Amino acid sequence: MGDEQKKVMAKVGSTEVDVSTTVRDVRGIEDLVKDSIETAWAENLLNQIKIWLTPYPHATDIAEWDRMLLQKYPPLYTVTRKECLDCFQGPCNLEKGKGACGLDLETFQAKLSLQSACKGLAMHLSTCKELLEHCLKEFGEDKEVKWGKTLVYGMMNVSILITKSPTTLGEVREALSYAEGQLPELLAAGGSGGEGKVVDLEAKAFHAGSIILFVMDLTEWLKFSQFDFTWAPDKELMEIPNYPEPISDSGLGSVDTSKPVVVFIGNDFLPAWMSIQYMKENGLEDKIEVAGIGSVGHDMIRFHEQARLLISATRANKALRLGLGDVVMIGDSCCRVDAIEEAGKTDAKVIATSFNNSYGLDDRAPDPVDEILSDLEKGARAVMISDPKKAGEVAVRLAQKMKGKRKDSYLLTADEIKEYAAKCTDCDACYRACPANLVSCETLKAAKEGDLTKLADICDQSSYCGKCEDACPEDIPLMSMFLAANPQAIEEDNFKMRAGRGAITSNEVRDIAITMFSMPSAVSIIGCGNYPGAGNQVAELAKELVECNYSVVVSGCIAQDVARFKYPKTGKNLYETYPALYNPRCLSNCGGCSAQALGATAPFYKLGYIAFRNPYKSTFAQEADFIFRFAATIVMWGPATDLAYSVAAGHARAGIPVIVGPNGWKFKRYMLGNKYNRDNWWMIHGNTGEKKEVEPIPEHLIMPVETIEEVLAIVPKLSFTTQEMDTARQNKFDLWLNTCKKKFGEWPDDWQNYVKKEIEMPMTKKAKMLKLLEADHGWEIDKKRGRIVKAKHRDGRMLEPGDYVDQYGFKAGQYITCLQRFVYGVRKDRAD
Amino acid sequence: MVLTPDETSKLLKEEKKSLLVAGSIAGTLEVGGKKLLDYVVDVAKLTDTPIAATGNTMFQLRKNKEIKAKKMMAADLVNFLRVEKWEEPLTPERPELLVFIGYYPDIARMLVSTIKDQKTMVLDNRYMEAATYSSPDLTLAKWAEFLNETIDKLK
Repeated sequence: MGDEQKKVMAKVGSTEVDVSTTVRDVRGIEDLVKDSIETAWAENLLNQIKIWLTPYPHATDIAEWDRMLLQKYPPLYTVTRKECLDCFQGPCNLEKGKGACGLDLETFQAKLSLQSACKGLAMHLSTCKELLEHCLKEFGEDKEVKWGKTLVYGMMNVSILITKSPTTLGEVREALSYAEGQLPELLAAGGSGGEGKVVDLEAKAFHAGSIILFVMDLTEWLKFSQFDFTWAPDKELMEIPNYPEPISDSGLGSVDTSKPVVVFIGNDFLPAWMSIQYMKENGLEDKIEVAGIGSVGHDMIRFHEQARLLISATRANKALRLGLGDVVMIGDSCCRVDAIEEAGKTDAKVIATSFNNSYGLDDRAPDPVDEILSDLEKGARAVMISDPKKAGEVAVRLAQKMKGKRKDSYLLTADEIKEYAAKCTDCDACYRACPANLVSCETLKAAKEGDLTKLADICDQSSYCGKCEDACPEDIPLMSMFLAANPQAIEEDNFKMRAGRGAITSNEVRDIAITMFSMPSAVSIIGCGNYPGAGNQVAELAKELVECNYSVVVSGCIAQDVARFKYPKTGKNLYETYPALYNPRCLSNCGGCSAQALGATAPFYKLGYIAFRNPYKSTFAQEADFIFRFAATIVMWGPATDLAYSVAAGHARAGIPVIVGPNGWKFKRYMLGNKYNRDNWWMIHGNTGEKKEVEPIPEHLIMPVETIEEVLAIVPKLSFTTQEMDTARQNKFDLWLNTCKKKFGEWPDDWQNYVKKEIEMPMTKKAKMLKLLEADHGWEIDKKRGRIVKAKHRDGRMLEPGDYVDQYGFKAGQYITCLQRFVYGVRKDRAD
Repeated sequence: MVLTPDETSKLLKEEKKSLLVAGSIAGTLEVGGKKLLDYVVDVAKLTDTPIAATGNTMFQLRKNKEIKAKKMMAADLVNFLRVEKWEEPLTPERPELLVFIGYYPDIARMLVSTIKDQKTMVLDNRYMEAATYSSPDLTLAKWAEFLNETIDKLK
């Protein structure tokens, strides 16, 4: 061996720490670790807990935290696959016992869970990589990656894992290579001969979730810094309440079809960016309509004011059947696999643009533009062009050439509707196929007799998945009939959207650090918009939450649906009504798919540092331990892809409960707490190390629900924290009990588990709560004075009110934790 | 097992530890000119079976004092089933047969697929292979007939 290595010491105040004692393997990252300690750790904290950093972590580096979560919220699986076909020793029917490799049925479900999380991660990793490669080729690796002039802490989902936030494209490449390295490791663990314990597999699924949020952060920064996307951190605080202005024309009725129209679908915006650059260079901005379906649409309105955002990607068929686009550009993910066939029904031409999604087409990137155009004009229905610049030019020029060659409308006539309806044989196959129970032979019977009202109702309710059409033995074009029955609804689907704002600023987090002591909580609504029923149900959800003073942040495809409600009196939608701040009674839209990383974990990591000096560089478990004690909730309404599965896992691992519904039931793995199992509801006193029983908080980590009303009831419950100000708990009790009464006709059966003292009871409910505590739960109450005389602990003991507060949960202000290693103590292993 | 009304009523009569689980659609869907939830109430009354009302169905059941019903989250219910000690007060003992009705087919499939140690029955109009017992694929009209016939046989 060579000479003894020189110790690298980190110094904070007068305290020095040998960096090699703070990580698993310090080789090659000494300076990084030193920087992490010196810039993010307060001296007093450094002297109170054993510092342990996890830079560039493998899943196992954070397993201690993951195991704690998995013990509190053991995964519950829906076993829809019992036969493992993952290797060539099988197939093994695991219902009858272990497989050839020793795998049991439950562990197989955990493997499927990890595989799903990995597929989700791969989806976004690929998007980010394509974008970065383009940036590196165009701008070079020294090109600066701006953060925005008011942003202090950088990419929180990145620094929490690898310490530093990239400031150049070269550094982004380094960061991305970490994520790229993690994916095969996780996939291998989920493959044959890999991990064999549920807890390890699920910990790795969590890790895939953390990595996808990491990559989404990188993507968002690239979008702002290299393509000038709207970005609130580049604005002064006073500008943000109305930034960006809600002026983007959106909805299916917003497109001017008298002009040539190019419609983009998918998750990557580069082809759209290039098309618009070509239009700008050639003075075509006012002569051509560009519109986006799904995430690309959300991106387009962040850099091009005239772009239209049509609909979420899961409902793409609705736009395709209308024939809105003369040319349809298909991106890398979240696209229908039959997009060419569907677009062909309205004579639209298709250009595939991604290596991930080539539709069996040869890549025409090397060919001259004129040659490609000529082939398309001569009759080719679709081409693939992997060069986004060339694809952009072809799309614009092709749309111009196509104008006038397609029909003005592709809607069926009333007579055609009747004709098709007459073919119905009353088999109800459509009804049984419809995941939302919308269409049946009754609907068609009415249509046959000229009553289109039932069909018209479905126009807005359907997700246009096409299962009904596929099931129909008579090949009745049901989706086309829904659209034709209600052209007015299409026309009226026209509203102003507030484009995504990007990250939450440090100043807003400072604000919320104060208001959070009395606000109900911060709720982030994310998802793909894949849900049965009307498109305005998410708007109803957001409306109720924001009106109840939640801080509401939206992102992903679903952000558009939030605009699908107008207050009757003002005619304004939610974006036009509420300030776009990260604050109570405000509604922010962070942006499209990748912005899902910006609305919950990132601001809460910041909050941990700003309000509590909790270090945020390579300290994942420490920050998650902080977030787990605070009130943030994710509502994922209508997940559609594995990407959503990964995103949910990433938030859950960071200690943020995720409510998924109604299609979230198809996640097939939930993480539910059991309120009756008192053994699971504990926290550790951060000074004494004493483990104490607490309220069931948060009750669930990943929870499926059926209805919006259930979301509204469960959000206040999940936002209870073990130590909060009296006013905050009053607010939460009030919201929870009111919602349950209003929506279900009764109070929940477990509210008493959250009562600690009278002052936390809402004034309007205090008398009833005290009465019920005495009558139903065995508490001793002084009715005259309205006081608790003796509280009944869940273990059966009758306690004085003060003793009860001491022995059930923790008082506000006390430091508590979930991991023993975070318990404060005087460190003896520091250099003098 | 694919059920006939005869078999359904027989099973409902025989199983003393059963629980009806009514999902969100039960409160909104009309089958044969009658709310689906009304069929559930009829079955509950005739078999003296409590109802776990998931989704928003409790709102409509609350005025019906003749039946024992409680708002539950469907996820909570299936989660409670897997722990050793049954503590949910809606039924004095762990139910042995869970009868689901009023669910989107995908949700029904997911729900019954979480349950390992109890028998499950789905009485919606799509055959549910994952359930122990299921009504067959039915048109809306045939579904109404199926439910009415089952109820008649319970009387």
